[in-house]
Amino acid sequence: MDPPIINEASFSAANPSSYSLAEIWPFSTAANGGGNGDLGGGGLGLRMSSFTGLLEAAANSVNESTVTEQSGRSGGGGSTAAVRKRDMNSEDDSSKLVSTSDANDLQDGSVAKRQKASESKEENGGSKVEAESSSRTVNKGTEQSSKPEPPKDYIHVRARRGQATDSHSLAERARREKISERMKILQDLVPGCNKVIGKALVLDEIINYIQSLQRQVEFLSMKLEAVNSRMSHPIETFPSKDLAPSAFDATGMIFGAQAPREYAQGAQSEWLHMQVGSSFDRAT
Amino acid sequence: MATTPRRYLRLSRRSIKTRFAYRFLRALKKLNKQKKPNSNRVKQYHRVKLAAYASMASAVGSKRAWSRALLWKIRNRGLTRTLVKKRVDEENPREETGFGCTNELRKLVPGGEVMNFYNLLDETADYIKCLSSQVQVMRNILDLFSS
Repeated sequence: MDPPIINEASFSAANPSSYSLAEIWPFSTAANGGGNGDLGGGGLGLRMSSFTGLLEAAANSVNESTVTEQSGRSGGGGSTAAVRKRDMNSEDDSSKLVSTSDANDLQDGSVAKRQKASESKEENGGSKVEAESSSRTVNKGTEQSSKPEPPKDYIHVRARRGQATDSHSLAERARREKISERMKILQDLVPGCNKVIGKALVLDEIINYIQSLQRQVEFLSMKLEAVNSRMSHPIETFPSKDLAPSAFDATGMIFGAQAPREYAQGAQSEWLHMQVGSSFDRAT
Repeated sequence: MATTPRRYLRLSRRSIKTRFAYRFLRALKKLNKQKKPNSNRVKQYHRVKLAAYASMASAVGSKRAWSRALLWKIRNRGLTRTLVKKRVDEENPREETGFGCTNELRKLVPGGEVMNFYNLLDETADYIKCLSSQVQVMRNILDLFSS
């Protein structure tokens, strides 16, 4: 029976020779299949104990350190933990770890972050520890923590597995989120728009709604013109039935004086309401 | 229906409504005074419509892009008329750049052609709110007058 969880942690400390890889990984090569269960389980405690020590070393050093995730595997067996170790001769080599997980599905919010540690500047030889474990079924996503010294392209936004993590696509994703949030607000405003699925259809609904509102304004102004021409002084027949008397404040008079005067003096009645957009292009 | 957390929201929206109503009624009165006896109906109707939009935009104030655009448009009507004619010629290349419904939305919202998409959605939301309240107020006034 396999142990359910295998954690993989890789660090590149400044002087990894002080933490000899041989004592971290007491086995150079792990066997495949179910036979390595107790071996991996025994190595786990050792790994964890050396983990904290390495963390301190990594915090001091400027080297990058990466911790990559690993997904849990169930007791089905057949998982492989291959640890290879070679070239332990150089003094200032940094360990490079490549970890891949073959988890087929990621549920329960475990963020899969795969990082390949690039070679640090001072390293020349480089011992390479390659650990890979594959899991058939994921039942426990184990949490991984990433270390404060990232490589250059480290980004703080969470990305799901398979999503691009370069800065352009992250910015694009943030922009899309903002837009979809606005679209949701608009959907709440437009009646009957909540059931519509799809951005183009929602935009169509919005456009139709605005057009209908503008048509209503035209219709109402036509009616009002007919009514208004019949009355001599419409404002005296204006009681405060549905309009609060606070409308007659002085500031309203001041601000209200401007725009109506201008329209009233205009000789052209041909005013195309919504078609002046390109004039703004010119103006700005 | 006025629960306590909604009260401020209602108050502010209502104040926009009352401001619009006040401006619009003033404009109607002025129109009535300035009306020439031989002006035709279509011109009068356009003036009323213009009054409605102008009072709405000035009631909202200059804090919104669409109202600023609308006011600017109304003030420079003589200028925009010539520009509108020019714009019709270059309409086709503009149509091809964006995708369809966005362009249509840009035409509908005043000043929408120079916004980016995010701001366009923002302004559209505000514009819809104001238009619907404008329609409500105009309907109320019409009921009041005709009764």
